[in-house]
Amino acid sequence: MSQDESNRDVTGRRPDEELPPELEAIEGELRSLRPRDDRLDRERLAFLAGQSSVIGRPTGRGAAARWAWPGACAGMTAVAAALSVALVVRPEPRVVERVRIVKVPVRAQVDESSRAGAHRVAAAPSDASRPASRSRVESRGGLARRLGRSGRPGQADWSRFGSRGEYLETLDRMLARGMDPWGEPGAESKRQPRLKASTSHAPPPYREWLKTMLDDQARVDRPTGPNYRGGSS
Amino acid sequence: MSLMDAVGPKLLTRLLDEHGAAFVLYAQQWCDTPEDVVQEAFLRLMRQSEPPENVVGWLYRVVRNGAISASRTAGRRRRREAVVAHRREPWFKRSEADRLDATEVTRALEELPREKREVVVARLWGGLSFAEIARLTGTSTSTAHRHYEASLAALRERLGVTCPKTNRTET
Repeated sequence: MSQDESNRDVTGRRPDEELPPELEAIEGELRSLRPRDDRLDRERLAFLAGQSSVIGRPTGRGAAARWAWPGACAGMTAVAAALSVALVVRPEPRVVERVRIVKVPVRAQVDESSRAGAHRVAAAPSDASRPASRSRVESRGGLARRLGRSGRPGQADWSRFGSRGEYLETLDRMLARGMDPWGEPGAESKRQPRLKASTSHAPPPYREWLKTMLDDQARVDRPTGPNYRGGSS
Repeated sequence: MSLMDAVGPKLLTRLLDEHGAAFVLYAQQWCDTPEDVVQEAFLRLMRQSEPPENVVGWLYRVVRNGAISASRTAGRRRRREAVVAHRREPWFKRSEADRLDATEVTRALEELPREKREVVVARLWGGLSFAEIARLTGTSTSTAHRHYEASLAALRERLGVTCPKTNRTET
């Protein structure tokens, strides 16, 4: 028995809960009244209590079956919501740029006058059959050897090419790739004496190179050129 | 295992006999449908896997929460109509032996503030102690006792009950 209960008197009241006599009278009078008990349907309540103890209590597989469809519905709703959010906030697709080199076979212009070197053209593999690395990139020293030690178009050794057309095509290809066709490793200062006056240290701009090449080309096209064959090519 | 399985219908019958009417009267302090609230409280008790430590106190708490919830959800018009209807029928059984008129007591109780009326109903007809009432209403024991005294004084004045001279001195 707790101390709280031991302190109560015979009426179940603690000493500090005592009421004045006049209030005890009205308390007794009111306590004698009985609340109405006809408002509660006892039979119905007993029936519902028994029913809920059997039906309303999910156990085992019944409980799993009861939550199966709500769980599936909630799961699918969550997945749909997540996909909707991902659709809205997804990043822009990344643009990937790739340089693809397309090999175009170039028909070599066979010069009648250079039939002597035809065996070289026939022996050399074509662009289509040549390995890609070799067809695309040729070493600087090798081209310089083919173009001649001086590196000038006007002084090029034509015999190293199959024809003049092949020579020009090689030049165009190298210039298109930003390569110096007349360059030779370690010979920069010897090859560019004219341009050194304008740019002492920096390489000459492309326009000057182009102008030089055009001048050289014009010199080559003169009838007095050493390799002029009378315009039959 | 539910409480129904553990105890069976005997506990339900005993609780209904001893406290059913008091629960309805207590729930009537808030809502217009106290029978439904009490019925739902009993059903919740039956669904418990283990009986509460103090079943009666637990039921009073559930009835109180249910009655307050029901009073919030009921419409104002419905409440007004129900209040008018309930005023015509007393909350207590009519008995020739009672000195007090059930209808008059009902009206006197309705005139009390709700927090005081709740204490009176829980104490007089629910049989709860002031400590239990304090836990139920969320107040202190002294506050519950003070409300009870003030309510009895107001009811005494309203009903005109005289004080018998042979009350405490002879006992």
